[in-house]
Amino acid sequence: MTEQTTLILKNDVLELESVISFVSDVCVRNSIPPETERDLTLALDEMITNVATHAYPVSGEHRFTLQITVSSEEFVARIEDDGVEFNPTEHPIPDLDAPLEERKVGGLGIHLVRQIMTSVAYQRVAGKNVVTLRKKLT
Amino acid sequence: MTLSEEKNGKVFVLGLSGKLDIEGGKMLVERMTQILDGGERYILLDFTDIAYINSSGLRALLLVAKQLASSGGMLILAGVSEPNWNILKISGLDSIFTLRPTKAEALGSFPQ
Repeated sequence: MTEQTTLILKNDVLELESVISFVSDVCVRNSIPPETERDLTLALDEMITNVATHAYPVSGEHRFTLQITVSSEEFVARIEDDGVEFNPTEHPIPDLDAPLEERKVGGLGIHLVRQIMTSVAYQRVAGKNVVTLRKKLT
Repeated sequence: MTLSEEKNGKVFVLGLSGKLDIEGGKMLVERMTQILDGGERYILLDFTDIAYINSSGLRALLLVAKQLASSGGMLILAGVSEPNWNILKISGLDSIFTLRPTKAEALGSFPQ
């Protein structure tokens, strides 16, 4: 059985709470283990925070969508926004071996997402960023 | 996130509870700045009750480590759970921080 839901979100980090509680419900309904739920929550937290804080430099309310599809094999999150073009798959990998004094404090979010998800794909479609995160469940 | 504090000899113990995220990270950096300004140099961050860390939390930890390194102090993290340890590891922070399984072991690792 496949379950699909689309959430319409505002560019406000406060939206995260509703996403996290939605993911938690999805995981319970689909018997997804807690360690996988933690990874899914973290990945969505990072991506949605990114869109909410960086995609819309012009102030005002903007909307973007998060579509979640779950089957027994896979969890798929598709995030679509019409903000500033941003391809997370081309985001530079932070230097993880640099000594503390040379270590950059930011830029770890996208790296984390790419590490904990099975795949991250990006498309630019009709002026929109479409990011698809996949996590195998089997 | 909530913070609890105690002084154990020369060591300042900051207990963190809840989520080390954007808000938790801000709270940690602000409080640590005050603590270091107050002259403390041996800092133990107790992670036993931290349920969640994201990249904003990691950023805050790196800021704290940099602050402490530039003031010549010493920082030890205690009670980091396995999932949180994994997040630190894939972010390359395992080589930067000193970790101890428990608060007691961490306390014993500071110079007497």
